[in-house]
Amino acid sequence: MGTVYSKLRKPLVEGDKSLHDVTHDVCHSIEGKPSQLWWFGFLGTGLVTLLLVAVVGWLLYEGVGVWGLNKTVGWGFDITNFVFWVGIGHAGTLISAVLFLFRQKWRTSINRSAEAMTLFAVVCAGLFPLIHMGRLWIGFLWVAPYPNLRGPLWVNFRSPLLWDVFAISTYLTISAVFWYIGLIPDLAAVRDRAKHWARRLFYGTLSQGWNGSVRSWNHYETAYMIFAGLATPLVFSVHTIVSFDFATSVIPGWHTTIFPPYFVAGAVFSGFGMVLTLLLITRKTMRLEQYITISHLENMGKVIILTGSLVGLAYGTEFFIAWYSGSLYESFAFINRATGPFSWSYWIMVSCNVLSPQVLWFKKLRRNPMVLFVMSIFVNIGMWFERFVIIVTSLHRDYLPSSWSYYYPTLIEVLTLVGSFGLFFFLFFAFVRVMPAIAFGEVKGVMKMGQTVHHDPKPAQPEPEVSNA
Amino acid sequence: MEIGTNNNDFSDMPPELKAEMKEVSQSRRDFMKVTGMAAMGAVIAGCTAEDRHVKPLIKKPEGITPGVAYNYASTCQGCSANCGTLMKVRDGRPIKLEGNAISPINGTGLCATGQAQLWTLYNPDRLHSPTKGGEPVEWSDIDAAAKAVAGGAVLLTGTINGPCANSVINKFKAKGGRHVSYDAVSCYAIAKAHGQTHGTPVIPGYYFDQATTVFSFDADFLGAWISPVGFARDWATRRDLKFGRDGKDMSRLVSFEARMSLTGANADERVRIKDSERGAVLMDLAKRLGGDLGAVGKHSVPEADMARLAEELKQAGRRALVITGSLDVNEQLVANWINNKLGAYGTTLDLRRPSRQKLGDDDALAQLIKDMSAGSVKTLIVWGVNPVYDLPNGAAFKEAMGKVANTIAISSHADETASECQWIAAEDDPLETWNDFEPVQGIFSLAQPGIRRLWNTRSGFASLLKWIGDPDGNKDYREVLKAFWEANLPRGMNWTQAVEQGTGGASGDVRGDHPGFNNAAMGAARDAGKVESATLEVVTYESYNLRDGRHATNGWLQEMADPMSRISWTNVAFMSPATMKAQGVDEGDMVELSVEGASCKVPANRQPGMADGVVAVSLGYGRTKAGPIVHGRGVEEDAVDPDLLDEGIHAIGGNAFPFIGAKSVSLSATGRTIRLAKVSTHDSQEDRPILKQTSLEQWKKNPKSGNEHEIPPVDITLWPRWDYKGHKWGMVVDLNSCIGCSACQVACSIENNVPVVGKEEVWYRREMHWIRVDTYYEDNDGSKFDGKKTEDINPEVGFQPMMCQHCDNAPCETVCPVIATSHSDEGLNVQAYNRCIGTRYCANNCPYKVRRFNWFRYENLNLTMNLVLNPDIVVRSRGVMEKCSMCAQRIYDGKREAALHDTKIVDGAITPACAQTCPTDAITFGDLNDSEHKVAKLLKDPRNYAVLAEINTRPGVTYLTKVRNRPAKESELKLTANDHGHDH
Repeated sequence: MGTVYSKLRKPLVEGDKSLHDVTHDVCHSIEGKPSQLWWFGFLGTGLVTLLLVAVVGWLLYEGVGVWGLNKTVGWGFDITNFVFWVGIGHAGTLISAVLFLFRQKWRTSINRSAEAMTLFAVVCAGLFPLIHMGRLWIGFLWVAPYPNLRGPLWVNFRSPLLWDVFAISTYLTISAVFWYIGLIPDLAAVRDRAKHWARRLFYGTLSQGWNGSVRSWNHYETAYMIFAGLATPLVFSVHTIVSFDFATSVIPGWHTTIFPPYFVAGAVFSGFGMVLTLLLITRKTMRLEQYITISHLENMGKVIILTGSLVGLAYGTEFFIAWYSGSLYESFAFINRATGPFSWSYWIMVSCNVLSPQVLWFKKLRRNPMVLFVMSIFVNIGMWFERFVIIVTSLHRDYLPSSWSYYYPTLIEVLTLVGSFGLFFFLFFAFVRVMPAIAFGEVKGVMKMGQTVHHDPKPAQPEPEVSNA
Repeated sequence: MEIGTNNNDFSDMPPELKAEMKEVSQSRRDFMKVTGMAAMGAVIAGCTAEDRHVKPLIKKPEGITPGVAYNYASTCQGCSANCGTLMKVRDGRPIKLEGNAISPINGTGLCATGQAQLWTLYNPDRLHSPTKGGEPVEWSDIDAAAKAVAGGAVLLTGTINGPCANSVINKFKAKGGRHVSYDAVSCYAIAKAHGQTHGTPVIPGYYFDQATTVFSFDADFLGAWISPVGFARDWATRRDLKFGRDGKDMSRLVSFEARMSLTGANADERVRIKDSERGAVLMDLAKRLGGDLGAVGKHSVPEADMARLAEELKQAGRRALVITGSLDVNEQLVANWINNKLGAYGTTLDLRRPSRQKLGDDDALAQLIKDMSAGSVKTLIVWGVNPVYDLPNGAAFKEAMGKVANTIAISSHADETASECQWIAAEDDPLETWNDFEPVQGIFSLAQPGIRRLWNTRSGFASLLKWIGDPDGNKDYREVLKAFWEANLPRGMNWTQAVEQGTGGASGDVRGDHPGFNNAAMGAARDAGKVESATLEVVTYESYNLRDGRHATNGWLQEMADPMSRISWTNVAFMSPATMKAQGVDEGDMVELSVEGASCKVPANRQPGMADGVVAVSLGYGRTKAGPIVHGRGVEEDAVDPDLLDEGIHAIGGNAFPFIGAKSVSLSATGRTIRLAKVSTHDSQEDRPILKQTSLEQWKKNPKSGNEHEIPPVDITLWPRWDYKGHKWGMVVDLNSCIGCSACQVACSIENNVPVVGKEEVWYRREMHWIRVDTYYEDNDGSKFDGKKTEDINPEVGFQPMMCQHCDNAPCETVCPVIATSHSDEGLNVQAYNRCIGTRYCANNCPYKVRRFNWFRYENLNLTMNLVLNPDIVVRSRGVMEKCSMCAQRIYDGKREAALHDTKIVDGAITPACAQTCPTDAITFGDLNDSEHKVAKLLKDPRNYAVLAEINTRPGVTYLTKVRNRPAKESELKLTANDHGHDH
């Protein structure tokens, strides 16, 4: 087949791939022997996950006191990590569902791993509300509204924490189902290529007898569309509800009506940051540069600069309102954020979230994977600190100065955060070995097969540059 | 079996119980069972019957119902004040101490130290049997040894003022013994001065309720001086503005001091002088009142102030009271002269009914040490005092003890002194034994046991009587006491009544003429006005919790933070910010303070409002043989973060007793910094209207002054309102009465089983107190307070008890995912521990930050300590949130009681532990729905306000503005002016 290029639209997959090439490229990585690099990553992150098990075990054995929290600062690393990971979990569904509904075809190369990332991030996120409880062993049960023998004693539907329980569990369920449905055609392809009976059984069971008929595809695409429709509002609702934890409270710095959009923008921002980090690693280690192209990266960069600016605007608005409200406590909370004992964390946040994405205004830098990688790390750090700033600096100096305190995280808390990253990457490494990391069924759909042919002797030139986004 | 003589004779018992009794500490269940029953036997025997045998409760004894608590009157021995107490005894064990309402010393109030005496009772570190050289011995051994040497021995004790107790001492003296008594924190100078000026060497009775103007020269009468609970109570009656007292009547307190004392913090005017200037200032006052007693040295108080203050005294006349805690007899003489000149004797202080709370004779003690060093003392019996630790020359005393052939201690602990003695006769805890006191001449106070003795210990009196071969020595001391009092009780009172009431004796006005003043004595005071200042002076003072150090083993008191600095578990070197800077040290830096022959290491801490060039260190810390005091979690040594502990100072601070009387001290930094366990690190209100105050002048013009700027809450809520159809419990805290003594805090901890968490946890800001006393400083010029400012400032201090505010719109209630905290239909914010899953969301969302989380398992690891727990209250497990319940258990009791008798709940029928023990009645509890309850009336007081009213939490606890008896400050006037602007 001849090489076909559009002058206006660059191909979404580079390297002149045939349909078989695509299947082979993607499936090869889960069929052949894993690379040393993979083993290194898998075992390394596995060890870090064991560390997580150890520190959480210690926490459960000794009590929440092994963390550095106190009577004034009741939440620290725990809920910071929770909100951080939930935020990360936004990008996957956004890419899969929202971009799907908006017919953004470039999403196909990255949606699978982004969805997986979402799932793993939500798993990590879900860990923290559980372990932050003083009595996990009963708490995990009592927050569920199930029929019980305790008479009128029911869960408290006024509590944002309960709303969280519903929001997170719904999101996790929908994301998992959506991800799984998208996997079915690809799993069937893997099944068909499988040589060993066990593999056939495993992938055969998971692909639920997919036969690739038009009828199947028709059902599949309808279902996919429906789930995309269901998942889309969740992208916005989850972080809105997470923000209610703070927005409905009375604590200055928490009690802010701007929180829902601010949190959603922040979540998309951090989610894309993390997707970028992961994809940059994946395309390098799994040699998928031709599928996850520079253009993909650039598009994500654009989303980041947009959401980063939104977040920056929110920071500014908060300060304005703090001053404009005339509330003694409110203005103090924000002055304290920028100049108080925790101002270092505030300025880390501002530099990482508002200043560092500014490099993306420049096309050259936007298309440079190394720059993007460094920037994405900054975004991850910045967004973690955003949650830390909101939670800790608001709590540590609230209404009565007699109770003002500082918060010194302990080693256990730091290791728990590190461990949660271990778990996240461990799951991701396992995923890329077991499941096709790219939705090749969908990728094939956006390849330029059988379209109008322009015979061009040379590969596409960058100009005229037209955005795909 | 006779109690205390033989613990192994259980002849009346069934064999199973006998076996259990012998392994009494084997298991908690058995232990509780046995001690409970045994103690009940003791209590019954102690109060009603002559049956002295321990029996299992097969038949229910008449008048005693298991599970029901009974109160027994007794006397507090936590300090020398000898306040009357009621022991709440349930199932044979005391679980709470309260002031005895009929006690003329203290009334219902009891200080933190008094409250905490239960810890000492159950503390397993006490001696369990008599010892010789640290090894347990039989009583017969020690008795034999002591009998041989007791005749002609020297008995060294603290103040012994009980009539029967003194009869025992007299018997001892009759056998050729010599008795010397001293007080670790001495008031000998006061008695000595009165001996010279009035011919009676006694400490006068002080009547703060009679005084309109009190000038205190370093006499911390609201903190620890002589009888602080009684003094605070009396003083507060002259200050109380509740229920429309005529404002003119409010007394004024002026404090002259170098450090920042509780009295100074509560003073309307604080004049900062160094100790070295005190004599000069007193002389100056005397001179201005017309006395030429001698030269007046140069001091730092401005002329205008002196003239004004002298005029104030003159105006007050016989209603004035000048007191000083000075150890210098000459300064005391000048104070006596001033009081006499003003005509105060007979009104605000009186020698006709003197205090007998400090009878120590420092001269006799000095003679004793001389004699011991000379080797002329053959036998020394040290009883209930710890001179090796608490004498300025403790080391010298220890050395002198080496020259005494026989040394015996009667002590409940192997403390610094007892452990130097050859024998220790293990003494009962004061709550296990009989005793009598005469704290004020003519007023007796009895002490009875609340529990059968826990260990193989004995009353000190019994030991002494036995050793001198007195026939009473074979009796239980109760019999001796009973026989004595049956012969000596006031007319119309029998022994049973005396034991029931606990106190009695003289009442009404004193009779007879007041002794006259001998002007000739003033010749000795000629040099009192001399000023010999040093670059760095040292001030020592009795701490508000550990007092003279005997309570160093007490976890509740160790964890009770100093009211001024909010530091717990250690003492510190307080210096003014300027002095800190001059000395080049910062907060937490370990410094070594040295005087000739002694030194101690303590961390430095800034104390705004102190005189410059002064370092103040509290006494009572730095015990080296106080046993494994509670630290970290539980009692394991290894639970302590070594970073927190400096070598040698441990959790217990430094011993400042060697500095008593020292004029100058040298300070050097050790280069080490430690983390101070502060319960609060911010001392400014940040211009927030939290602790509201005004001046008396302004208050008289407008009773709402200081409280004008309440921002009315926007009263909207998402949820349906509560309608309190029956009761609506609430509290009003009068900030004008609160003196910051923290008695409420300790009382609450005991009543509600609040755990002690230790130094490290306090450093993490995880102390568990359900009620705390917030201390706020305010700059004297009305600007925002900055404790680090080195400019000369004399800040005002305010105290604000803060506990769960029981909000109608409680932020905590809406956020709990499992409804572990919810609202009762009587206005209580209730916490269901069993339902709590520990998200801490409620604590985060509490604007008052009064919720406390169980970060670890805090319950006592020691089984004996479990006896102290209040059985009405659940011991919270790890991972659970807790907070003030307004003593829900007491409310239920009160309601049940009222229902039983089919009456309505009258005002005062229910009193939470904090309100009950408050010496100054700062906390009023009751039914806000019942217009007859005081609290409902106080709700309408113009001074009433809710903290953070503007966030519409609608608290059930409200406060009354603090009113200071001083001219209005410019900033306060500005507020009022603005308010008028609003009105028009």
